[in-house]
Amino acid sequence: MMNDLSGHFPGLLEITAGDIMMQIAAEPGIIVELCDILKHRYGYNYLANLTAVDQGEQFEIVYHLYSLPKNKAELNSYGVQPLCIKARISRELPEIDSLASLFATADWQEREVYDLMGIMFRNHPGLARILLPEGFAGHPLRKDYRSDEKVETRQGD
Amino acid sequence: MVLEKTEADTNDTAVRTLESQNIIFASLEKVWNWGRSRSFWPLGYGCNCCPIEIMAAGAARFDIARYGYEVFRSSPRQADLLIIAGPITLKMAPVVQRLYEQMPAPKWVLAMGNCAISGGPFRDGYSVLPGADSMLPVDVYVPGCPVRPEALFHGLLELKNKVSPPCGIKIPGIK
Repeated sequence: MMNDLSGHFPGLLEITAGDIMMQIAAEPGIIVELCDILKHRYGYNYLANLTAVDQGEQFEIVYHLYSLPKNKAELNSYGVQPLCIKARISRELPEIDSLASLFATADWQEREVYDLMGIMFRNHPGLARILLPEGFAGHPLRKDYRSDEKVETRQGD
Repeated sequence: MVLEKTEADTNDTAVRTLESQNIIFASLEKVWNWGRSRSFWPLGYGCNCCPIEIMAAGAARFDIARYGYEVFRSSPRQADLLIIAGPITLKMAPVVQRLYEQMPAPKWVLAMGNCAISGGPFRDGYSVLPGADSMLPVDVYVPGCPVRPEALFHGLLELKNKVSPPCGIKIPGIK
């Protein structure tokens, strides 16, 4: 699988074996095609986790993929290890393609990442805030987020 | 029987005659408050830990029914006491406000636990109100994290005293 993927995306991803998960560092542009291949050719049918990390200059989008049919103890060899895919996007243009068309679980998780980290997911069916109220200013999990106004209190009246 | 008897009442022969005939002489508001304060119908709002203590308060070991406050309502229209037992997030605030406004007057608010009193550990957060009194007129604050059932009962009895102040025992001639 490693050779197949490296051959399919020459120079666009880097695969390293891990103890628990196989790591794939991928270019953000190929994320949908990569996951499509992983899902339909290698059986990675479950997107367990989708999150983002603020790395300063860049945002790192992290995907955890599992293969439920092959996720059995006796088969848990190298080929069916869970996958951790990481894609880095620039802070100036925090956009990446949505995986909602491939994995239903991506829908709300991408909304959460948009809500708290301000990542725009292209082709998302309805990218709206999910945890914070509508009209909230800013994306609070960014490292440079500063809440300028305290939440209003009546005690000061 | 006279609620909140005054010196004049005890000396009033008309009042004493009525009393001897078992006729209650009081303002209607006082009689109502006497009943209200002994049978609050609470509407609960909470997240996780304080509501667990409310459940314990309602169960047999602590038995909130001893005080007559066991009629927990699921509808704000039937409740007269709003127990805030958790932090109010910005997203939840309009919902809580609406529930409070749907409750018929007279109504009271009890802030249960540190989150409801001040925001607790979430006070400096970007999405949590620093206390229920940021948006609601709170009558009784019950501190605790979480609040033990005994503390909740104490808070409810304080509210009872607030709604219907005890008149105490008055003996004629002794102040």
